[in-house]
Amino acid sequence: MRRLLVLGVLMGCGESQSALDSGVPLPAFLSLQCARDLSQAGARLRVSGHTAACPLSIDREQGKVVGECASISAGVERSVVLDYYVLLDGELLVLAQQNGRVDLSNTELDRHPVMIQSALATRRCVGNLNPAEINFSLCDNDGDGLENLAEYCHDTREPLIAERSGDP
Amino acid sequence: MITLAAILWAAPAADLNPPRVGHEPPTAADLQGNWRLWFEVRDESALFGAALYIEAADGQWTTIEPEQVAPEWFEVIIPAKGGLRYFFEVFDEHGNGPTRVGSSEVPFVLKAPVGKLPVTRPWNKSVEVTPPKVVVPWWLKPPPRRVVYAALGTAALTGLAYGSWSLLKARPVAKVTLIPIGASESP
Repeated sequence: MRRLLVLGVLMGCGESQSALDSGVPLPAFLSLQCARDLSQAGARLRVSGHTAACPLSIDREQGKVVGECASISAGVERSVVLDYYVLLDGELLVLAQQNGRVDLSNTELDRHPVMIQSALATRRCVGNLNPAEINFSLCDNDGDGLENLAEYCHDTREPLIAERSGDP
Repeated sequence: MITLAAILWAAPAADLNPPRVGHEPPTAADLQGNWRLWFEVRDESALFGAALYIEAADGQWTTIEPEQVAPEWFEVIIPAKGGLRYFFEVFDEHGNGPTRVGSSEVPFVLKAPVGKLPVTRPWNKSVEVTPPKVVVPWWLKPPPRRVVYAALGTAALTGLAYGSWSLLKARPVAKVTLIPIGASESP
């Protein structure tokens, strides 16, 4: 009986520790075959109520997006968006997004973990965070109906040039 | 015309008001057993024709000239007895009047004297009226200016502090650090 109790406690601690592990697992698209270089992709965290995005690092060895965003105003619940992007011809292309929320009403803590959902959006991207608004052009810079990720990784598509639908 | 205007301007204003008479019928006789009737007469001009009318036993009115015992004061001394009926009249030198206290129809009627008249005279004593001391309760007194200023300052500071606190509460300023982590796949 005592062994079972100790085992249960250890299992509980293990789950809690894994949930609080720093870093967001890298989404699978970053390891797919791509016509262009995906190794230069970057990640940034946008927080509602804050205009400047917070740069994060992509650690491919650990397979995680890591980093911290300081100087975030506390006191309310905030929504966040993790953008994956590349720079093409000097223009920022958002390839995909993951959403999350964080309750900052407890101002006694100075470090808050932000749960980033695993669901990945490559087309219905969130532009404005508060109120949340879907902005299709965010993940489709040229507005031709094909998302940035698809055009970026396609060998004949140009993410910054609108092409007719159905063109190869 | 100019001379006439200057004379009119220089001339004193004419007295058009009759004398004013104050009288209090006595109730006590003096030490010699006489009534002392006193009349206080005031006027802007000199007085004229002051007279005390006394009703005799046959109903006829006889006149007694009062003696001026002090400025604005007249006195008549007559043996004290009950039932004395009298009135007083006076003019000023401009003919304003007569001002009467009492009249032949409604004269003063004195009762039998009671007690002794004090030796003090109304024209001698200086009337010093001490105003009654009014004590205002503290809650009706206006607060001192420094107390008002202190109260207003305290209220303003309290309001400022409350407003600042409310503002801080409504607009979070505490800064925190966010650490992105991945949500677990299993619920």
